[in-house]
Amino acid sequence: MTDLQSALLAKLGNPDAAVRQVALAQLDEVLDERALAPLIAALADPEGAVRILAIGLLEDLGDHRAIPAIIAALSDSSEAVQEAAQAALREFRGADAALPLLAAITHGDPRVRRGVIFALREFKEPSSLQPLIGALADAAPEVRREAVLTLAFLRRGESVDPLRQRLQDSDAQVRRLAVGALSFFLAPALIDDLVAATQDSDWQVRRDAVIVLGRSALSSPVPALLARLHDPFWQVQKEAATALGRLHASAATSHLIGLLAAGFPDVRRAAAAALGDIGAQEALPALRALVDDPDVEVRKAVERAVQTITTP
Amino acid sequence: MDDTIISADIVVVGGGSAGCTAAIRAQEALPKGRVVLLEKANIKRSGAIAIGMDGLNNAIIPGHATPEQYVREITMANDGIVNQRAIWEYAVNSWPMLQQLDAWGVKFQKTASGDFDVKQVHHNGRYVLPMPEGYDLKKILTRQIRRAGVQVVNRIMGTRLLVEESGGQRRIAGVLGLDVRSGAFAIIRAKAVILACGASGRLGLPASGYLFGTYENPANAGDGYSLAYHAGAELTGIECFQINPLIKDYNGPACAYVTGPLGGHTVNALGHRFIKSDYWSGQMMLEFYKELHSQRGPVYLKLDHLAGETITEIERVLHRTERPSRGRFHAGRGHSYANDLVEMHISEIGLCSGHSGSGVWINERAETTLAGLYAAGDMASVPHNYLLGALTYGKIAAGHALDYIASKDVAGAGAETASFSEAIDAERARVLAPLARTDGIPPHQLEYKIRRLVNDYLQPPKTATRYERGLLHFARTAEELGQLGASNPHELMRAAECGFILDCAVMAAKSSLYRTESRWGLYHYRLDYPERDDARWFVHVNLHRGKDGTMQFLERPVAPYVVPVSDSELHSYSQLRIAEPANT
Amino acid sequence: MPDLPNREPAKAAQAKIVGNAQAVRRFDVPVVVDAAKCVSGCHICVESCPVDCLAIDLATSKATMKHDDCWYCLACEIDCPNDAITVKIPVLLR
Repeated sequence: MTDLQSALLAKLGNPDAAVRQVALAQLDEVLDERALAPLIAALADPEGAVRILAIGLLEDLGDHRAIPAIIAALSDSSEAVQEAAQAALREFRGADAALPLLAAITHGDPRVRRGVIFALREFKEPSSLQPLIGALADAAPEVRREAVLTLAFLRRGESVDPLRQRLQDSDAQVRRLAVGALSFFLAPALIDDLVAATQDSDWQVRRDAVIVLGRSALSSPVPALLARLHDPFWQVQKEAATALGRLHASAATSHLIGLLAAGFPDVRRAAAAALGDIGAQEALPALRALVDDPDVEVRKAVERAVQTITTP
Repeated sequence: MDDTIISADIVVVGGGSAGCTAAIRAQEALPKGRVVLLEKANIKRSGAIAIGMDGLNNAIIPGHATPEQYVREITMANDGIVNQRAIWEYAVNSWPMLQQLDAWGVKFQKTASGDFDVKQVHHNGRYVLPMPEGYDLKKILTRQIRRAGVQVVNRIMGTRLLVEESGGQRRIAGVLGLDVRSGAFAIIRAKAVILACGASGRLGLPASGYLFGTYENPANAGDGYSLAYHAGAELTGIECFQINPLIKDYNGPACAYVTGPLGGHTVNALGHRFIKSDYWSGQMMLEFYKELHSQRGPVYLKLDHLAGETITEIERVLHRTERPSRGRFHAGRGHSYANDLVEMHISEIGLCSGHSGSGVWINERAETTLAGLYAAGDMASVPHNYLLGALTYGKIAAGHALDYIASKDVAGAGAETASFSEAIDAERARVLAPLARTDGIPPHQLEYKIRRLVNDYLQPPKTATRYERGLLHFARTAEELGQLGASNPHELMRAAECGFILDCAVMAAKSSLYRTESRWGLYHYRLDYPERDDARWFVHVNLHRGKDGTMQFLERPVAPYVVPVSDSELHSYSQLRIAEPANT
Repeated sequence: MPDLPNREPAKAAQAKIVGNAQAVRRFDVPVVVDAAKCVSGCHICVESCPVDCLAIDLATSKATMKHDDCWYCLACEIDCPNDAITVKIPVLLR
């Protein structure tokens, strides 16, 4: 078995790319740490398929000494190699592995910066806090997106203000992810920012802000949520109805009764469920009128709502 | 050709989800012991989740669902005929397993603030945890198998179990099988055997007529059901079939658990939702079946109302994970989720505890009724166990198999292989016989015939007359097994699988005839006994191979519940709680 | 016209005991291998296939779909390091 490994590694110097590729494919079965240096060297192979196989084997090996070389592959000329490097970097764990990743956060290539931040997400490494906050101001929106998410996984209070500023980001995805990230730190001081986000120009930002506010257990967001019942997107209307139900916002009753006539069944269903959550007695006639709704999910929601309202 | 001979402390048959966690657990506990993982394919790409999985259907995560809630849900979804202790064991062990998988690098969907992003699909608890990047699940399990140092033996398929009999006691002694590449006969001696061979997924014939166009990985031919049966272990609930709602012709799942939380849903030809059940159950399949065969059919998956961003998200998951060729199937017909409804259908029948309730009878220790034989995953009788159940029960089975081989009685025991020579010679002759029949019937033709007969006679709704006709045909086909010919080891594997498939067909037919009532919605819908009859049939129907070689039935009482379920809850899945509107 | 002799009872009895005959039939199969890209000596796809339907053709030393047993699961296509494989949906389903 060990002889086989030496023989296969020797083939990595063969001028025929096919021979090198086949050798790596077979190395899979007899892999141990003696292959580390030859595999790192293979990341400079002229053939993309060879580089991809070498990255996969380094990932299997799991030795963190390979990390700098894999990070370099994030800016490989081949997209397939970049993807393989990205996938591999996520599989390393531990503080030893975090160090080289952190060192690359200020790399010149945005693909590398994005890639290492992505790889850091599951580490939850305390020393990554400041570098990640710095990355929130990165010129590349894809880097800022990864930084927002990775900071959210870290859950450190120091990141609240920098994340809050991202609610004004020029990139809609960054704004949306910032809404989600801040949901963990939900404090009254943040509510105004999130209420403002319910009027964002992007519907997904509005939807996510509505969902987060629905979990706030506060009454101050209710007027903003009421406005969202009339959002041009049904997806936002539905979440606004659900959020108002969760907040037991009786002020929403007449609006929700109006929404029972919405053309889209998911909105009718959410409105019925919310009226049940609110316990709105005055909605009973409108709810009962829907027992013949063509959509079974609406009928089920109506039945449950009526049951909730009429059961003391 | 010489036999392949292997000796082990514990042998795991099948390197899918359950088999991998079983082997890892066993090897970790026996650093110097011999744990052998047998796989008919290659563990890198084998089992039901060979190409990954897009989510967990039954995650029980603190804060989202409780074990009590889950046990109650599964009891109701199975019309009360369950061993609650076995479900409970899953319910309390699945959360540690999920955390273990997370630590191994399996990628579950997390919220923007890093929590598991559990979705509500069922009415009560929240159990659905998406895995949008679940395509490398098998790669991660394989890595852990290697790191644990398990001896993996790829491309050997078990064909029969070796059973030791002394002083009226029977216990497991090993596995006999076939190397599907070389054609060598294999003898694997072991003190304990864990069967993890997956579903009987190649039972009915897909409507397309393509033998391998199945819902389950077609390598799962019911091997484990047949192995356990011939060893004399009990099987249970075989009349509770597996039938799934699938993309028509493609015959793969459209994954309501992926599309549902994002707003996709199943509609009839009028564009209305119609499924009343809150859980994937036989009752739901009956509603699906009735809608398909009514003037409101066919049935579609509707996604065209979703925003472009949402469709992109759905495609990103569905076209990369579990059955990634879905995308090119739709593209080939010029269809897209954004513009077209996806026509749905119900699948041919199969046997799979992962989705319904049939399997090799095990208790909460994963023990079968044969000493030293354990079972886990889609072939073991814990109902609606799905992927996380397989991973969890693999580990449970290994834990108890370890205790078993450490027991005084077993530790130093094990009869000489020579004392099994008669059984071994007979099995070698049986398995290799098709090679000698140069003019024999090709296995794929006989398989087509068996599975076509399964469709003709066993596809529900069921009647005694049709089932009895089916059994006559199966008996005649059994004689044709002796005419199978194989020209290479691959065909030899297919020939042996014909036997597994026929065994499962006969078990399915006889079990269905035995239970003279209807239960589990479409799974056991008998036109000649259309009512559920709790007074007579609130029992498990078990079967086993008797001493005389014939199939014997027995009834086992439903063990007292550990989580109480009220009568009205027990009937909730069969009640039409929501009246049909007058004009649809 | 004279009656033909009724040979049916004899032939029916013979059909039950006579050996089987065979013919060879062509199949359209889903796994298409680009021989120019497939690297001789590599058998990653053959090892990947969960139903063992691929093999190396001994004459060309390239991978080929040998048995019509495909689950169109794409394992071979995904695992091929040289993008030499394209899996089509089986014609019966297409």
